[in-house]
Amino acid sequence: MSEITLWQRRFDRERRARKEAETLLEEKSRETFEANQRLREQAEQTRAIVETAAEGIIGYNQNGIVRTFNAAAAEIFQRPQEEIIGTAIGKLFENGEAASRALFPRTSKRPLNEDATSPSGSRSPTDAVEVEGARGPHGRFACELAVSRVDGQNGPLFTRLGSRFDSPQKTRIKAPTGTENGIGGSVGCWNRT
Amino acid sequence: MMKGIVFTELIEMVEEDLGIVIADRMISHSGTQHQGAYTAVGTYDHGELIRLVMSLSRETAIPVPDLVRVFGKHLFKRFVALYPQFFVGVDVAVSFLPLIESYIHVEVRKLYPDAELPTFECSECEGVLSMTYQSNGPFADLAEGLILACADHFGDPIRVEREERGLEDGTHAAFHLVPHSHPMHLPVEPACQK
Repeated sequence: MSEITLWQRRFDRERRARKEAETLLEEKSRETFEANQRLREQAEQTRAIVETAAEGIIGYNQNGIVRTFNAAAAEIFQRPQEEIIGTAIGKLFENGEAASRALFPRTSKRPLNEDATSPSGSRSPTDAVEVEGARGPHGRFACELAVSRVDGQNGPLFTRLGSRFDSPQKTRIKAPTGTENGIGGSVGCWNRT
Repeated sequence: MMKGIVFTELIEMVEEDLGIVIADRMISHSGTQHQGAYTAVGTYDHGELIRLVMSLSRETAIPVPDLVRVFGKHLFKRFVALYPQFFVGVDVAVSFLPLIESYIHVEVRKLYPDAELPTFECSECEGVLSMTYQSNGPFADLAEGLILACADHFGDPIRVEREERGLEDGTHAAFHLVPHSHPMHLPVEPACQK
């Protein structure tokens, strides 16, 4: 067999391999596109749920920087979303041991309920902790926080749920009133670590 | 099933070391379905690799186990060149080899969920690292070549002792990485066996 024939055969093998690789690449590209499409839809759904929730929801990272601040939270704290996102979560609450423990559960004496893990990996909230929310110069309001956690692929997701209540009677009120004492509504936050 | 990179690397090794004529004969006399047209991102029946190596053995009169071990050594060097990220921060073979199962195969499965990978169960006893290899295919010789090349790569002063397991058909074997100074001889001391 001549060398030219050998190289022609080799070239033919390479060409067939290339075509197969292109087919596989097309399949992968389609799968990736479809997966991205699904993720986008899920993200939009999640964003819609968070944005329209009656509960105030605040998302912040492990450094305490607010990443998400939904419309209900903005109403409760009487602060616009764009003003709060990117700032420290601590500024939303009056300094105090209870707030620190609630916001950063690793140092909390009230650990996450490790025994109450659901099939989805979420854990029941801890006991509620009373803290004081801050509206900057506009006043303070009582806030009750609890921590629940979902183990996501990128690490645990802490969810803080709370209800503001009428202090000192501590009567839960369903809707924010916008009064000086900030009575009513609820606050939730999560913390990805 | 086996990832295509194993096939493409075999053909490239044969072309480089033995020439295009032998490579062509190996492929054309192997009777494989794909007739040498493999892509690294594809997945193929491991039986095709066996047929290719048997064909190469006929062409070269080199025993199949020897060819497969040599190929294992070649493959390890290629892995080092292609995937340097897996070797960062590791400086001895006995630290790297346990990562095959706990790290590398985990990453491979993320990219290729359909990959059928062998298992390497590692245990250490009295300074000897034992790796138990199990696979659907009879590629213990390939594993041995990879392990030997790994020891060479890191320059570990160790010898590799192989112990056949199961049906002794190359699908199940244990490899003991013994420091040169170690007095161990096969069979492994009962205290070290699981």
